[in-house]
Amino acid sequence: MNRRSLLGLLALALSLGLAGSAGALDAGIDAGAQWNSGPWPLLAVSLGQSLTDDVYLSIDANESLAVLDARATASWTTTLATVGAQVGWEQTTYPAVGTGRLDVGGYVSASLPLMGDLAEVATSLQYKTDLVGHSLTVKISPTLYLPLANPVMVGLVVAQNLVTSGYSGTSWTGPGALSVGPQATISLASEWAVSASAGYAFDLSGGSFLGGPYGNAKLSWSHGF
Amino acid sequence: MKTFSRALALAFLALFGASVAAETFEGTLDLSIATVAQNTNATGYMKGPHFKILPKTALKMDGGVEGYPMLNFETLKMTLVAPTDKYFLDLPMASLQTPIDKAVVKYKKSGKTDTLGGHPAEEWVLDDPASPYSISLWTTKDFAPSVNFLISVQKSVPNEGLILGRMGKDLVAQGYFPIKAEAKDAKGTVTVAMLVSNITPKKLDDKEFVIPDGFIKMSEFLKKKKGAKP
Repeated sequence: MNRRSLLGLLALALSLGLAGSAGALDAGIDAGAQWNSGPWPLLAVSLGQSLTDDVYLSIDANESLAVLDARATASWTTTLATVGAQVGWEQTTYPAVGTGRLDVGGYVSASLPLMGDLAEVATSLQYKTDLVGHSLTVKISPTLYLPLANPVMVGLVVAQNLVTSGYSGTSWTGPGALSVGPQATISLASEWAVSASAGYAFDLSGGSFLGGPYGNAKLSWSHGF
Repeated sequence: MKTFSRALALAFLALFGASVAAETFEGTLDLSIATVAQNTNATGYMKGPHFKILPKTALKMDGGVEGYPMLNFETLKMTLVAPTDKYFLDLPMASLQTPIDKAVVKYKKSGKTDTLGGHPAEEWVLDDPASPYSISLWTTKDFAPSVNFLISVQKSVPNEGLILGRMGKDLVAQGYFPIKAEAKDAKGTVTVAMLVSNITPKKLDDKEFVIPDGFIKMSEFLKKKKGAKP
């Protein structure tokens, strides 16, 4: 297992997001720090727009863990689940610019509300392939929403990379990767929030990927237009 | 961290009894509740199974969220609405209703009568020598309420609140309108004081009890901030 040494890293993440109801425009900036098993920079940008109340388009670019992941997503939300189709590009960026790969895929996500809407168990199944190999990941996230002066969401994320067969992408969650850890988001004010997550990634397959402890925190700003 | 939790506590103060009197009250009232934890002044909107509480001053503080609760006792659901951030949160009410339903409380009329807020009122008191608490509840028959807004005083003061909640449930079901309540602990300290005033019958639009357009669930609001992706 090619375990990298633990190293703390302060990074800056910027993102621009568009969301909300059809026709509405929201923008946001995220700034944060990331800690993981390598000196990886973190930079994220996203753009999106709701076409209708149910259909959402977005473009995301996430520079993290020595990987630049650029992804376009079209999603459709029904009363039961959200279904999305994605086209992505993964590019290694550390220690030197490496190879890039185009992939396509999709996902299905759904959540089960509990205690009214005070809690939920969210699940998602995500698939992608670069026509050489493919990857299938399942994620389960029990989450509690606390109606405090500054509302808080706290939860646990369990993500399992079920299958990675010949996938040539550079994602750190390789075959057999199981990551478990808590996450929390606090709404500081109407446009501001802080979020953090931490956990540990296990290599169930005995293969080579960047497992180990991880954590990050960021400050977010969003604004509607 | 006080603001919306205060809205939550206030909302629990208004869980319904099972009053189905022939002509139940529809209109507004002023509600003042003081507990060891907080003082709240609000306007209550009551119509059938619906009850909305609009705080006058207490729920906007510390630069936090301004919000109000809406209760629906047909669906046994309470909705907390945050106008500033345009989100809402649905909560179940069974956790407070069940203890009230199971509580056994002995009480009686004290024989005292008075005129409160222009309404003839009579006093009910706890009839349990073994209890360390002293409970006084004044009611009027001028109106027949559809809600028991005493039921969740237990959120602030569990023991006294449970007693008041059970008394409220029984009396509201009999068409009594609670207009004043006071509870004291074993030391004689007032732990709960409630006063209802300006009870105003009037027709209310159903829109008073509907989540405003464009509001999203609290979970979606926070996911949006977090930028959650599958």
